[in-house]
Amino acid sequence: MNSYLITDLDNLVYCSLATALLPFCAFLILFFGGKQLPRKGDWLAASFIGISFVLSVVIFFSVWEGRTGVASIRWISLAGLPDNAFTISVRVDKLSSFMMLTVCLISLLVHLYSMEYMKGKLNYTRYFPYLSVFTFAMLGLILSDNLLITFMFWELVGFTSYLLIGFWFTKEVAVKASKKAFLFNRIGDLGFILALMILWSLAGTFDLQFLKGSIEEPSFWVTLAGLGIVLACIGKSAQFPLYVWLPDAMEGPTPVSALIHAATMVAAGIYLLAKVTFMLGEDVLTTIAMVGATTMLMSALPALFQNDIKKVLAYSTISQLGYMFVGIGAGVPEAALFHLFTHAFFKAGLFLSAGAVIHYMHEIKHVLFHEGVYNDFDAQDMRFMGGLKTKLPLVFIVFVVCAASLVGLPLLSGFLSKEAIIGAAYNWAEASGSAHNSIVYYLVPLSCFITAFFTALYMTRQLIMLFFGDFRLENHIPYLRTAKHDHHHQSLLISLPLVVLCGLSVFIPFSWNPFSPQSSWFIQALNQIFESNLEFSHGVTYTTVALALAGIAAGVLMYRNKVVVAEKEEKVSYVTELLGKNWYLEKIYYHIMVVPGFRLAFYTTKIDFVIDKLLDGIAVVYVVLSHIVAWFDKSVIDGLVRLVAGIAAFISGLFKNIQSGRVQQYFAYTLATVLLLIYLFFNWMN
Amino acid sequence: MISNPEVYFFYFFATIIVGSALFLLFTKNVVYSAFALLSTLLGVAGLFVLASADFLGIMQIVIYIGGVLLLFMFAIMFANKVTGQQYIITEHKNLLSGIVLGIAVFIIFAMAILKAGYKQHLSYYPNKSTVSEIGVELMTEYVFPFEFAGIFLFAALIGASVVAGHLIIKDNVKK
Amino acid sequence: MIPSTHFLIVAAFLFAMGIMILIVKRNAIAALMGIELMLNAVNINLVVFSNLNRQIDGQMFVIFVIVVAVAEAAVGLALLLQVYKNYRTSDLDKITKLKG
Repeated sequence: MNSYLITDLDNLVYCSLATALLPFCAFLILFFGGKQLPRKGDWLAASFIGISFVLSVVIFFSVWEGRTGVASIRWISLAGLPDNAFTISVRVDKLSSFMMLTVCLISLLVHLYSMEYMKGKLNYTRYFPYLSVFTFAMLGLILSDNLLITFMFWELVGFTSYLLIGFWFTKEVAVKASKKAFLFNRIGDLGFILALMILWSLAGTFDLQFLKGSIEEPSFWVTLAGLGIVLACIGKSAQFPLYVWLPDAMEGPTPVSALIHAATMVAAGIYLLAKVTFMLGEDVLTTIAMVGATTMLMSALPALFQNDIKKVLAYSTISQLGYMFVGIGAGVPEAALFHLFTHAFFKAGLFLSAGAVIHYMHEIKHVLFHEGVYNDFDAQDMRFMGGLKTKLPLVFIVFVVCAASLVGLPLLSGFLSKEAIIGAAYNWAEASGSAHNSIVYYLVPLSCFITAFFTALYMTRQLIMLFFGDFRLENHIPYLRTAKHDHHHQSLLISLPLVVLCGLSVFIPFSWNPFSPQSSWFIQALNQIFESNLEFSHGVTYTTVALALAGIAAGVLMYRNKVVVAEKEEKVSYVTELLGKNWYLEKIYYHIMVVPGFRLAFYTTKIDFVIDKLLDGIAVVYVVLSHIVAWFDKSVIDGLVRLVAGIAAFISGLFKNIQSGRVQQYFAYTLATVLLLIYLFFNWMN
Repeated sequence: MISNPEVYFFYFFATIIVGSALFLLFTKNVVYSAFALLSTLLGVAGLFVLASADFLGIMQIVIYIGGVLLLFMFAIMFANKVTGQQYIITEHKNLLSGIVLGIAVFIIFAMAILKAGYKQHLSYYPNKSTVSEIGVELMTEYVFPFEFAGIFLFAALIGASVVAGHLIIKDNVKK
Repeated sequence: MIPSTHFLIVAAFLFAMGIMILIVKRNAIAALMGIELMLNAVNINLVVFSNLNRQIDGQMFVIFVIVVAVAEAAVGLALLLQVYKNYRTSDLDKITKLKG
């Protein structure tokens, strides 16, 4: 085994670059030549990702032994700048290698899953290039150690996610959602650019290693830069107040949601924050924790009232990202990263099983169409599902395991990571509360507890609505009761990723001791980087587990016998309306930002009108000026010329009269001249 | 009495010349001016005779009055016909410049003559006739100009005929 | 006898009159009369000096001058008639084809 590891550091860097560039090559090949390949080349993309995954495994094990590969080349050198001003740096250490492993694994599973899920759908040719380039962008972001390059990949990730969310561009809702996602990410990027500018003026370099060395004490400007990066992460990782794009981004295909919004893109923010913790002062960290706490509670509540499968999972993602933010804010980045690690797997598992359910519903729709029953029901509405426990058993098992991990039940991976965060949050609140003598800090762990309860509640609701009870579609379409459809064959390409993710959601891959996060090899390894305090109290653990079980019980009680009839005019209460529409956040945003924007644009068009008139006036002035000049030219200058000509004509006219044509005058003039000559001659003689 | 009474003859002819010339100048009628020319030439012929050039005097009368003046008369008549005017009445133009120039010329000549101061008097040979003398000179010394003058007259004759040849006075004159 | 200056003065006078007539008269035929007068003045001069020198050369010259004058008058008048025919006017001021 050891002989397969990479020991040479340069080789390590080259291998990681190869890992990142393989999906890019897949993108190039498929984008330009994908149509000609059989099956539109999806096997090509999947195999490239597979090779990348193998390479990332090798790199992971090599790095985890204690090596770190760093490479940095000088990119631009301008006169007057120090040599390390513009560099392209690659850093392969524990942090980046485990992220690479996660991204490659989930991307590979999603590729395999998509080969079956997207079969026969529209624009199949463009799907795999987009997936590959997204993976490339994500890997580049992970590997880069230079903030400028990270920013470039950050933008690229945002752009490719825009392409993927709006994949079915004929649906107007999808187009709007992708634009919304891109724009909200853009707002966050404003913070990133601000941070870049401040760091440049402070340190003259973007390279993280140099920055680490030169920034000792977080000063005012460094705090500002840190806040800028926090803003970027709020945008990318969907925190309050910029999280409204994530639920709408569910318009994309389900594998895309699994890849982007469960595992990778939203995790990029957390990753970046982990990398730049050295420049985050205490105030910034407190802000992060507060933001995370607010988000997790604010997004757990609407999840309770959603009727779309994917939207529940989307709100759940936002909530879990809030947990990760709290982890960073509480000073335990390794806990946040651990949660990121586990969340990637169980959330992807949840999304992919939701995708399997949707796929099943689509197949029913197709069968119905073939048999002449045309009923366009929403295949993602949970109110049409139910009782799928018997119809999709594998999906049920995977969903249960992953949901339990999400809720934080013991023996599962989610338990370990959640405990780490909540324990650290409680410790931090204790320490900060006693340091500043305020009770405010306790709000953070409090919100963590409450969210844990609600997480359990909505996941139970979803579980019951999906898998228990009657298959409510049959109530809606009575034909189904009589129709005989055979047992649904689950394709291997769908089942295999589900099983893998399910397996990764239990505790075993992460720690030998299922009850203690501190003993996880992951935490211990990362602790060497971040050196934070990891003593957790048992009281916190018990409280959390109790809350989770209480939530499950409450959910079972509330939703067990509820027959949700779809499309009936329910008496919607005020709370349902508020939470169902996501706290009316979007309406607020619309009125705050969009309407004044339009007003401003309208008024600037008015100004534009004034400018037009001004330009017209200037043009008129020009024309008048030119007329004056023409007049000047014609009368004065031409007049001068004509004057000269006139003088010449006048003088010549004087002499012209001599030649009048009258012979007698010729004779007279000649005689006069002769007399004059005689006179002169006479004078001269005398 | 007077020392030389021939002067009176001279004055008589000089008066004729001066008066006729002045009349010629100041009249507007072309026919009148032709007759004035006649009398002027007569006066000149008289002066010739007084200067003992008797042959020349006679020749002057014969040629000028018998030839040139006739020519002038006919030319005036033809011109009248051609231009279709009733009377030949001319205007005087350039009076000022003409008179000034004329007076200037006269003054210059007069000054030159008076300054030169010819003291001699003209001699008068009543017995000697110049005819034979002229004839002899014409045939011996001046025979070449004589012949040349003949040819010259001949050429002028032909030339005048050619130029004025086709002049047929009709209403529509065609060349 | 008669002082020669008298003759010469008369000749000069005749010459000046000829110039005046030539310039002043508008009718070309009248102007030609001026030329005749000038020639006659010259003739008077020649005769006077022939007399003073007691030679006959002056008078020979006069013969030839008269011949030339006659020829010139004849041709000139013929030309004038043609000019009149062309211009249909006898006013010299209107014959200005030589105008520069």
